[in-house]
Amino acid sequence: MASKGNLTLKSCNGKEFIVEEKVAVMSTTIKNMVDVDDSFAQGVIPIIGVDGKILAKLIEYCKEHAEADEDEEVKSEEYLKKFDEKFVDELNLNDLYDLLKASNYLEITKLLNLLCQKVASMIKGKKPEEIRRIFNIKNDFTPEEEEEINRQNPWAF
Amino acid sequence: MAEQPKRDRQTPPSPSLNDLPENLLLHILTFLPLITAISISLISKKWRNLWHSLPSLDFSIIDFLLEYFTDDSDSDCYSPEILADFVTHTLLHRPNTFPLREFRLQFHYTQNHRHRSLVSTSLQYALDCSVTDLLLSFDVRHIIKDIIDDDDDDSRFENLRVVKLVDVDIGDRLLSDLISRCEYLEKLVLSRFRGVRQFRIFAERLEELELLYYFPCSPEEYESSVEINAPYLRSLKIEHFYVAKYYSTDLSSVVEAELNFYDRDGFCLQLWCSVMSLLTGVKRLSVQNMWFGFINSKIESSEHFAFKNLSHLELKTGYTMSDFKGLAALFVQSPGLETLVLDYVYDTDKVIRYGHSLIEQCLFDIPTLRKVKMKNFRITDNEILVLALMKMGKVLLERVTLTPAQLVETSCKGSLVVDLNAAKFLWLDS
Repeated sequence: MASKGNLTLKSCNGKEFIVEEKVAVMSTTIKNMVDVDDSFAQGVIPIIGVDGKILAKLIEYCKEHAEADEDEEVKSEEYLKKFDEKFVDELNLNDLYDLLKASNYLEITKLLNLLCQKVASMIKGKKPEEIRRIFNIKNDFTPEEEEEINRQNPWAF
Repeated sequence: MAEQPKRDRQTPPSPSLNDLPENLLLHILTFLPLITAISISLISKKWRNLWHSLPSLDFSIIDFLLEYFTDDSDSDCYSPEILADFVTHTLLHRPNTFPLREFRLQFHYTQNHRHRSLVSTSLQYALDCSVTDLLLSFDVRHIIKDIIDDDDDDSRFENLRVVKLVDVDIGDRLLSDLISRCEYLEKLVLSRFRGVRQFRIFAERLEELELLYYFPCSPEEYESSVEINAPYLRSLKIEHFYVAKYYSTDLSSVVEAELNFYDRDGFCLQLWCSVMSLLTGVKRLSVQNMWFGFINSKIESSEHFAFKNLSHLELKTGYTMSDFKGLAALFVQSPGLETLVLDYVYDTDKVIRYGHSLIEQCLFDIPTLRKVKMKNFRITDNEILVLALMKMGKVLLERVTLTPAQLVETSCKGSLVVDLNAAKFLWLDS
């Protein structure tokens, strides 16, 4: 049971995390749950489809940003920028996908944008085959279809 | 991305980006330049038509140059034709029934007939798609004139909420007309504007206004004026927009304002005063410190003027005697000020001698002030003097933050000796 001002989040594989409310409500989804139903604030909030490892990552991110929102002078913009860079650079592809899904479901907008930005930066300046290889995407076009697209759209190289 | 074979073996089969839901993939697309977002449709069926759903079409010449010519050797063969082709192709292949929120076109427009019709067509396309945000950057005189003149249907502009025009050369009367037709306009940004005489901005629902970069270039333009009539205006930004005078019947609705005129010699004092005297309701303000000129100007009631609601002030200032007197005057005029940010923007100041006459002339008496931040701090005597004068006046500071200037960063860390009992000093890691 979490003490006042704290919330307990439970991952889909049963790991529990006690976090400050200001950290948890960085997630709009959790914020709405707590706002609507007081019992969530006392009990345990199940985070469906998010395992302990990913949840720990989410909390790590939210904690830094919640503290920065509260006191911009202790955690400056520059500090946060460095933290964000390090945070996404250390992720492998699996974690990146899982975090994308989790931050989408939990509506942690800042993190979602950060992760999408990361994927975008991995796509930029690369050829289609390279992008397919990096992100494990199967080319499901027939050669005829591919030619058709090329003809329609001279920029689709 | 580092290869992590161990983990991959733990969770077979290895996941694909395509497993993510479509709304996430679309969100990723919004972070890519338009040309990349379109060319990625070749990757797999899932991506094929994803770009149709992009909420924004952004044809930016810069993005285009960067993305299209990835090899340096190619960049010589750029011509406006290639971007024109790209715009034409894109609009041709995008179903216009899909909702579109934002349309941006930044283009080197020439009098070339083909370009003219291209710009005109794409603007029509955007209006047909009921965009709410419109950014146009080029010389648009003829196009907008054509559309306004041809159009009997006023409702064409009704959907526009945000309009940004850069390098606009359509004259103030036509622009005033366009603005008044955008009945639901909430935000207007005009940058690198030309041809101002008597420019009138009458917009019933306008909340945000930015006027950027206007430099008069003919004798008539030195007499130019801007009249603002926007009862719901909340935020005003004027940056290097040098008309002779700003008018308004009432701008007391403005709570946030940012003014930037470069001037240390007082040549745009009149202009500064004409805007400042309108901002009676402002809460957050960023402006150059010209208060000394303001209180000594012949403008009626400038001395008794009050910024009753002002709580956050960011001041671009020097630390000369007249800047000090200006500070003292603004403290009198801003009885509720809580946060003051002083940003040093000049080269050097003469050292001011500390003494009784200084304390008499520059009494910093402002009991509400809680936080002071000094940017670009160089530990000069004059800067220390500002803090000392605050201490001597009735200022109950909770916190003083000093951000050192880049030059002296290493030498000043942790070595500050100013005794301001109540104040807490913080050096920022930068």
